[in-house]
Amino acid sequence: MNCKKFQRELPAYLYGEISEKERESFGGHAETCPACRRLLEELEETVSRLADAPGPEFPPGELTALRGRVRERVRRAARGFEPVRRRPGVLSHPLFLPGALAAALVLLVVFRQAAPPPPEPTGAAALAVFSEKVEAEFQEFAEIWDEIEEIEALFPPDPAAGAEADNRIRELAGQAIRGSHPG
Amino acid sequence: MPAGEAELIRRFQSGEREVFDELMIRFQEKALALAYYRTGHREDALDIVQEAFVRMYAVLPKWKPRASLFTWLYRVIVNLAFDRARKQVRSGEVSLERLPPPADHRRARDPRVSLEGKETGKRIREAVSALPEGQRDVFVLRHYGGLKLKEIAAARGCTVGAVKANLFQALGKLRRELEDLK
Repeated sequence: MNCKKFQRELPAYLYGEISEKERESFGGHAETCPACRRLLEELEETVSRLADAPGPEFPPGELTALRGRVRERVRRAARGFEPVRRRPGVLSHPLFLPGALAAALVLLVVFRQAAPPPPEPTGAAALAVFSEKVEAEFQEFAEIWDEIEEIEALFPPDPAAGAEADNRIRELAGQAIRGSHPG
Repeated sequence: MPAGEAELIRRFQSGEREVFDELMIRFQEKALALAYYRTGHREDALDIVQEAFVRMYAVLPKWKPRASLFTWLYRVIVNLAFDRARKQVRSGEVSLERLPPPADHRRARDPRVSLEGKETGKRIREAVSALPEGQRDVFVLRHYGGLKLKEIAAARGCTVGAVKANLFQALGKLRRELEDLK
């Protein structure tokens, strides 16, 4: 072994990654070469000193906490990637169809009530609607008048007994009409 | 791939999701050491390893046991650390002026400060942080991560010879930086 190879293989020797045969060869060169022997002794001392010294300090509690954080993150990620489960038996439930029909009915009623009123008729259509309304009211009055006449025919009024009251009613009615339509 | 690791992955893929905790325990210290020396901050290292483990959980179901899972984890951590540093520079959280000073500037220390105990650890962390990126990664993965030189080569996508060269350079610089630690 020469000096170049000695130095090249020195790290492997120092960290015990060398075969027994190479180790013997190493020792043989160190005995005959003072410079390489000194280098070997110095680096052996350095490695030994470094081995005794602590590395970066991470207390056991900190390491436990680190692993806990990793586990928590992994759990959260796993929850996020789980497939969404189907709800079993919703459609096959015996109350599903009646319930759906009831709900549809309720919605129909609600929507009908909430629907906007039909637009007011205008022009000729409005006149036709008004005429129908007047005709209906006239018909109602005519029927009431016929009933009154039938009752009066059965019980004819006494003109002398009711004349004074009739006059009084007419007077009050006239006052009321004049009051509601001044001028 | 280490036998125990392959078995854990096989069990995970068979539905035993609980073994993921064992995988995290197996990787957590080397992953944190790597992330710490990549970012220089404990909190950043914890955030990055957390994110890397979550991604590891996602790839495990389809993971083919061709190489050590840590070689993949290494790349994820390096990329996450790089992304974080880039965002911090863009957002103005970190400026070039605030980057760690080069190793030579660290020599100006108060000689009265005790070099025992925590101070020794601090000195070593500073010295490791000051290594060039390639040398630092190789040293951290070998020394704190316990990865074989071959595994480091696979993780970094380089030759074993390149790993040895980087490690040799790293050890030489650390020796010079820490020679006053007696």
